Amino acid sequence: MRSYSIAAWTSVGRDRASSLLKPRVDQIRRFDLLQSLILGGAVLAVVLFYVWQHIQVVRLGYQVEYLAGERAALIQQQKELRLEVARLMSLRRVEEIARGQLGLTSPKAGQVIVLE
Amino acid sequence: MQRRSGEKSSDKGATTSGAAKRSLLRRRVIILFCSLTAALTVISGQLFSLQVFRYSELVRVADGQTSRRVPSVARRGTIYDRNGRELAISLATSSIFVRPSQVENPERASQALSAALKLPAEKILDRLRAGKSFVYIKRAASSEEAEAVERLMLKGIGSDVQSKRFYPKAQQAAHLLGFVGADDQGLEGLELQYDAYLAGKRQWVMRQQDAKRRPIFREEADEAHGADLYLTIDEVIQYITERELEAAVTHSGALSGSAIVMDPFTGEILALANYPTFDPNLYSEASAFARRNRAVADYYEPGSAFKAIVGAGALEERLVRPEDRFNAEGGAIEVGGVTIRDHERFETLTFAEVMAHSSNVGAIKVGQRLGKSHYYDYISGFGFGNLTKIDLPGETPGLIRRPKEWSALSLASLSIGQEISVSPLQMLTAMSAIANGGNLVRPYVAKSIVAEDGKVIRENVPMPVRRVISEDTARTLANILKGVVTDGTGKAAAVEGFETAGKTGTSQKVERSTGRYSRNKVVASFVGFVPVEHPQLAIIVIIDEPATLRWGGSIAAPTFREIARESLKHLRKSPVVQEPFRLAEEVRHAAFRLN
Repeated sequence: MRSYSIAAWTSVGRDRASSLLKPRVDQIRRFDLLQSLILGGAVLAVVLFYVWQHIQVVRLGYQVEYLAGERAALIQQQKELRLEVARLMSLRRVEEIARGQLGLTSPKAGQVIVLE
Repeated sequence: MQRRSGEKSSDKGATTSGAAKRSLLRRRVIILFCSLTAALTVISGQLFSLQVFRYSELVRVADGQTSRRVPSVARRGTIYDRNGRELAISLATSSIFVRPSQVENPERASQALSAALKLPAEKILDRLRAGKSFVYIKRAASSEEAEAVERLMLKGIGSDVQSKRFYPKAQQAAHLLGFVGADDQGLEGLELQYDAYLAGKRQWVMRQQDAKRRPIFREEADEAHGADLYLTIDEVIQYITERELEAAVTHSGALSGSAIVMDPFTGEILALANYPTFDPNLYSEASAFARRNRAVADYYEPGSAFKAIVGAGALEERLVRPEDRFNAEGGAIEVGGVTIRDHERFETLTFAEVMAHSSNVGAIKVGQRLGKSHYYDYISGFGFGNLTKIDLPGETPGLIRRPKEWSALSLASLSIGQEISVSPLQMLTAMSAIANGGNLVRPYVAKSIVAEDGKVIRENVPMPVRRVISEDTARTLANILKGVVTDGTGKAAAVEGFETAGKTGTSQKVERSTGRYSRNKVVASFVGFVPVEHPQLAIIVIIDEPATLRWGGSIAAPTFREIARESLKHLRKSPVVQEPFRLAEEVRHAAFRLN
């Protein structure tokens, strides 16, 4: 009874052609194969996902660094422009241009009316 | 049977051969197994050794190849004037450094660096062979140059990002701002005073990099930028003050000059200038004399300008009234065996006239009425001999002796502003107390300190020190000082359309070689405020050793007028006399009548 039971689940020592359980065993074998394939595929997928993820992280790292560098460069450029504006707005320079190039003079008393 | 036995023997031989083969196979399998086991043991042992015994060392080596500690740029805070105009800005710049002991081939390295940095190779080689452990090859290099050096991947050579200070207005407010050293630390002025707030905290972060040293990841650093500093200085008033002071010093052929403009009620410094001056961008090229903030750090004998202090004390103690008459002794008085003269002969003068005409004889008599003890109390009360506690480094408390150290001449000398040394800032603070109704206020330059996120870290607010004289005394004295400008020695200080009050001062300098007062060297000054009714500005102008125009009234007073006139215009204060308005009103009324 016991050996029959084992034989029912395995094909060890049995003639397949004469086995009454042949369709069931084949099904089981197909199922095993499918299971192995799925398992193998899953493992492969996990491995591939891990590799893909790593590559993506590195690629994004490069991108982040590139963008961070670009941001830093733009901030630096903005500061340089602000410095240049501050230099150009120097009152000494403005007065030199106003008096020397444009011929402007300081308003005399009475020429300025303060609107309050 | 024989055949059977032959078959049997043949079977036996086959069996023997098969057994031998199996035995050989087994042996081979055993050898293979043993070899594999041995190999695996060796590999496992090696792995164990690498993973356990040499773990830390190998992690360090791997990190060294893929990770790098890089500095995050700690930007120094910006300094703004009261209207948010930039006076000092920091930018990130790269510095190329070398550790000569680590450089394997100095000749090749200098050639490569020369190409990357556009510097002479010989100069670089000299620096590499200077015998130092660390040298900077180039400071303030561009980011392209720094990247080019990094790409060279030379051992012992690298770049470092630093913050560099720029002063866009060059000389403007140079003595106030001060300057920073090569390592971005404050060395003078506000840069030194507020260095703890302005300086950013430098941090190091780990950067992952590939084989070509290109960054892949970087740790997020809490960028600790320095806080921004907002000053009480008005850029326009500062410029006006510097321009007029430079003109006065140049015109009079003086050694130097100082001028300060202050809000007499709050103590806010609106402008502070010294001439000669310097460009903080190139501070190392300037002389120590040009860099000295003489308005705060130097003292001088105030001369006649100090008569306002003896007058304040006498008025407050009700020992004199403006109309009280004094015998001016014909312009000379003998005290302690020394004859002190007036600049012209006066017979009788009221107290107001003593101030207006700056009579030495009259002032000495006022001082004698006040007495040593009281006078010293008022001198101290107005802040002389003590620091004003302005937020600038290097302030001098001045020089004043205690009454017990005074000679028979001291009271008279002090009444005319001799035997005492004060800083221009102290003199202006005292005059501000007269202008604002009798309160001595602490002067200050920094209005607020603001963090990068906009949070106000610290705010300076007006701080009254003490009441020195009553409001009535202050008002009376202000009217007397108005007379100095309308009728006395300070006529040149009159600002058209505004009532002006102040006091001239011309004091002889002490010759260092002889220890006596010089006949030629003087300090000419004017200190006052405008408008008298609601003072907006308290101004002091000091001209040191003018070669021509040697009187306070002839060189310092006109400079005061120009600074006050232009500054009031900038502050949109309308003159009391408004001729154009009057004319416009008349035209409007005439047009109305015609209609």
